[in-house]
Amino acid sequence: MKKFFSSILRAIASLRQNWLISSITIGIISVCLLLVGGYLLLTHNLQGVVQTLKTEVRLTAYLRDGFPAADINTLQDRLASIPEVHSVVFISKEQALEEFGAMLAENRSLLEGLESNPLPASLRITPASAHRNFQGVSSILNVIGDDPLVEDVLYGKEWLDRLDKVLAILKIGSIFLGLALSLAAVFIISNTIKITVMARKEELEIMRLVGATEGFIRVPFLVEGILQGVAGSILSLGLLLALYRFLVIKAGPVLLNTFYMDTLSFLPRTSIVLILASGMILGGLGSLASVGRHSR
Amino acid sequence: MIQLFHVSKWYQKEVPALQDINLNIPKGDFVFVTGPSGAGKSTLLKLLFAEERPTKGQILIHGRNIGRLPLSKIHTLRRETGIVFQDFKLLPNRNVFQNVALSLEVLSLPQREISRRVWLMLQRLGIQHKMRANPLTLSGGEQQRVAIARALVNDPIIFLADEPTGGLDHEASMKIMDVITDVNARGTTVVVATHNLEIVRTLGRRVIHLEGGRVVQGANP
Repeated sequence: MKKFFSSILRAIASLRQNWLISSITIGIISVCLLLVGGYLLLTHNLQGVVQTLKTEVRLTAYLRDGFPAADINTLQDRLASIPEVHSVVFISKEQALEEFGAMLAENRSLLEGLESNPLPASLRITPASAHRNFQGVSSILNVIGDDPLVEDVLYGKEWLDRLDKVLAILKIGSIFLGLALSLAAVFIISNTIKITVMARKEELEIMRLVGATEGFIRVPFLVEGILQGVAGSILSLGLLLALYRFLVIKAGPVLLNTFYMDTLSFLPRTSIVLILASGMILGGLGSLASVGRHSR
Repeated sequence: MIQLFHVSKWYQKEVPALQDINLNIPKGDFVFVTGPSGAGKSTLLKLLFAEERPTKGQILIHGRNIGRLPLSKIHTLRRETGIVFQDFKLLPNRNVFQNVALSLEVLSLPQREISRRVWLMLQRLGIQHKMRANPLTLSGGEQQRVAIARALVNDPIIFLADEPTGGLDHEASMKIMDVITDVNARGTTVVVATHNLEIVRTLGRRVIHLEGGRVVQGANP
């Protein structure tokens, strides 16, 4: 335990002695993790956009006139009982006319010429959030089947199809982008650490010359790497938070309107822990691997 | 006691750096290793502190076969051996005191003991007033004293010096040799590889002369 504490003290002393090179390493780690963090923040908030877009997925089943309310209730209950359905709302002919009138606004007077209400009653079906896709809608359509009550079902088939495709492309694209960014970060950070260790090759050589054990040499390097990694990741999170706050203040409302978002939010706790852990692991392992490479 | 039995070292297959070396250096001896560049002086020293392994033969230091010393045990040999080079090998980001203290830090001694011993060693070499200085601001002779202080501060049994006066003027060289002579007078076995024949003649100690990787003079005391 005493040796471990002395290793930590030596690591801190060494960070102070090599402050310039340590600062550069911390800076590079933070920039790399800032990019990864920025990406995570973007995808985290885009998920909100996807959810908003998905709430637009709705079906309207237009009903034939002349069926008793009990039949409509039965169909409504049947639909509401399947897991794919979140809610089923009955819209009577009168309600439909009322809504239509509200849509027409100042042209509402056009409706006054009508002798009878031409609009059909309908069931507005909202799929459960996990089923707001092509498959979920198909299941609901199957339940409706060719029920004599239903004249027609409207659900924006083409739009739904396109939404599914766009989401699939976004998902694959974001995985690739995330992987590429993470690999680039790992590559840059490990090479930066390799260069900083190389710059201290002479120190390693001298330590071995005066009889230092490999543990005596490696543990402080490991601790230094971990401290640099943690410092870099904290710095990157700080920068990201500052950037996020700045964006929210300057462009928050515009972003919300443009991208149909309900709210903007900072990284969830798991992502913050992920960034801290990445900094720690990359710093520590990178350092250890580089010192190992300079073994006798 | 340092003993070499039929030691050869090849870096490349065609050219041997050392060939069939047989040597015997008794405890407390002072030996110069001389010879032209490429004769194998540095290689011989590197074998003695296990920086290099012999391709053939055995090297015994106080009865221990260091050619077979596992990597994990090399530090034990290094702690018994003080080593000095022409280029001093001092750390520019540590001051004089911290450079010398490094040899004791690796032994995990208490800080108070380290400070005491470093101070005494700096005093012995007459550089205690430079203890807070950056080594790069010192003269060549002073830097070499710091390197010697670092090599001696843990009381080694063997002191190895590879061209310790290279790059120093005559006066500074003689002062360094005085220090090394004093080290030997205190019982440490000293091996100095050098080009400087003037110093060798002045000190009149045993000379092992190498040429083309072979000992041509002074294999035995």
